[in-house]
Amino acid sequence: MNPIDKISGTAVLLNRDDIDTDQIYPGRYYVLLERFDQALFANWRFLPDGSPDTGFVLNSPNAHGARILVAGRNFGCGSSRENAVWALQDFGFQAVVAPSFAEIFYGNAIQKGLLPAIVDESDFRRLADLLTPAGVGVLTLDLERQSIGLPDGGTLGFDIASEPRRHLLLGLDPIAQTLERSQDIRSFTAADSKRRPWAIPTVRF
Amino acid sequence: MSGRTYFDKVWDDHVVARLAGGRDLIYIDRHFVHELSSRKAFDDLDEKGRKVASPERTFAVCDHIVSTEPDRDDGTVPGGEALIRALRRSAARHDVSLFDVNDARQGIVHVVAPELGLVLPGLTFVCGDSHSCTVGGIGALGWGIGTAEIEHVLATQTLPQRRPKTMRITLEGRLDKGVTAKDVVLAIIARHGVSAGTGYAVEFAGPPVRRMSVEARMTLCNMTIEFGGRIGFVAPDDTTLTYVAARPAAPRGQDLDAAIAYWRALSSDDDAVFDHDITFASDDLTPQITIGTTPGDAIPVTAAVPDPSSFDDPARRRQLADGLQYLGLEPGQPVAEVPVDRVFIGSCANARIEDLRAAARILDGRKVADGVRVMIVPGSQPVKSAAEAEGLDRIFLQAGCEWRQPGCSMCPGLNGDFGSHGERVVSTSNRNFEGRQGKGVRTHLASPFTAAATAVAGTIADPRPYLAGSAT
Repeated sequence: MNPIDKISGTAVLLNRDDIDTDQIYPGRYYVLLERFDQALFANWRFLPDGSPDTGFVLNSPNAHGARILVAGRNFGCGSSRENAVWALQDFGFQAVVAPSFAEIFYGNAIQKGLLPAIVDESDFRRLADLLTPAGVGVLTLDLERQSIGLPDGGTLGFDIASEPRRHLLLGLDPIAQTLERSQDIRSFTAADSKRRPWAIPTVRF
Repeated sequence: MSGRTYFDKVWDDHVVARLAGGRDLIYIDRHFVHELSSRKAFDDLDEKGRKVASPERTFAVCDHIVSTEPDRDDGTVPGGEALIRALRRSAARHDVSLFDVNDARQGIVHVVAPELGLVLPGLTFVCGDSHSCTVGGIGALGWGIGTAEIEHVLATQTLPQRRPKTMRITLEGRLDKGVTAKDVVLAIIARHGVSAGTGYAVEFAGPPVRRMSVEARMTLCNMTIEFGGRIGFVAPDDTTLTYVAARPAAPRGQDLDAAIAYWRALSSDDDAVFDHDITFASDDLTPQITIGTTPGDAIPVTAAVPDPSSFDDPARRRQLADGLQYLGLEPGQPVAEVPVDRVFIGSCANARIEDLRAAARILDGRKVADGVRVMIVPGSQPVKSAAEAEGLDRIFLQAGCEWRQPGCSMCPGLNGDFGSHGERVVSTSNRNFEGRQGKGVRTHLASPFTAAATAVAGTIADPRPYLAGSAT
């Protein structure tokens, strides 16, 4: 995973709460093995005949090359499908800014290097106002400083916990890190097999 | 220092190491994988030349994309067979037990794992599926993970996790006839909102929960994720122990005695403190039905569709207005008069034997209304066999329902079981998101009683008049 430092570019506003992963990545696209961006918000991006819905913000010419998604509360609720993160990234998004995230989506985003930036409700409203009515504008996210540079020259802060932040800044591989603790895991399982011998499955199918 | 909760005790017993940033490296007792979310995890594992750390603790199930046709094979939606075959290859390569498409134990992950005794009270359980919280019904801590985390568990049998806060939801009072665990959890989400549980492990407690069967507790815990909580559970009691002791893969003899002694010691201490404590009075609860596109949009089935302008929060007003527009409902309209096209009885929320018995109680001797298509999809092959041994399949078929093979089916609508644009479905599943059961399909969530009554009435229906004279 590539380390993240600054992300600067076009931001797109989807001013809705509780955007679920069935909207971000409709289930019928599960069979895709690559180019996950084809699925991104497909039920909103495309009309029943498959043509783009020109009224949807991601189809606006101004949204071309968008890197930052600004969305309402509880973004990414619902299914655990990591495909939602893959689709956002394949489309070009590097960060999502929202007042809150659903936990599984948040964890998936960190794992894959998509920055989930949490802003206060009042700051979200300010951002939303700045991005309305065009629905787009240029923002600069600085992960080191946890700041968002606004089109009007102002700055907002955003929240991210220390460990996810370090993970993204350094582009760490969590599995390699855990494997360095193999001795701890062996010690745990040795003690646990005495403490809870019944917890080891005895049946294979 | 105050006492510890059940959650604290189970969590602490799984800490392999304390990590930076307040996280813990948690040992995973059981890892279930299915054909959708694990494909890339196995590919990436193989690409890096890593092995499955604990194949004996890993179980693979085909459930999401499998056909539910009576004479099924691997055939399903285009591209789906490749996912099934990839799981089969990965399970064989890594020596992982597989419940294949037509295996006698196959079914929905969260139905199969507890039913076979492969997950037990006090264990940690993960799966690349958000409804992993279902296994909380037997007192396990289960949570959903993404594909990168699946690879992590495959490679290490552990996960770095931030310890969640604790919430207790205490139910008080009784449940009236025709009111189920599904109605309780829908009403809780409607009251507290779809993100009230974010960051929490949720313990369900109180006398109505104690009176619930393990199956009903699984329904309750299943929907914890629908209000944001990754983990929901009911601490084990005698009901749990009776259930567990009868499972084929459960510990036996001295092992079972040792396990029971361990489980009893996990009960929350009397002076344990929860980070958040709420109570829910269930006395006057009526059967619930959702009327929007979030699981928080439930109202009593006897009520009228609410007016979005009656809500204070502008975001909530807009959301409900959008939901009503999507569902084609008008404020003030009695929900019980709305005609439906389809009924789906199934999913990890409500496809266990008790759910099928509930549906059968209403459908017995009655007919599905003209023009309504009813799919009944048992949660697993053992559930299907049990239902057939009791004659429930004949009740369903005589009523005019379809009796299908186990799988996730219409809940996520991934295997071709979905509605067509504009169709209205009453579904016993857990998500009414826009387009989930087919693009443009209008989903109403409800209990098996309400779904069955709706099938007979042809409109959304209060199940209670159909239960008059029966015992519960």
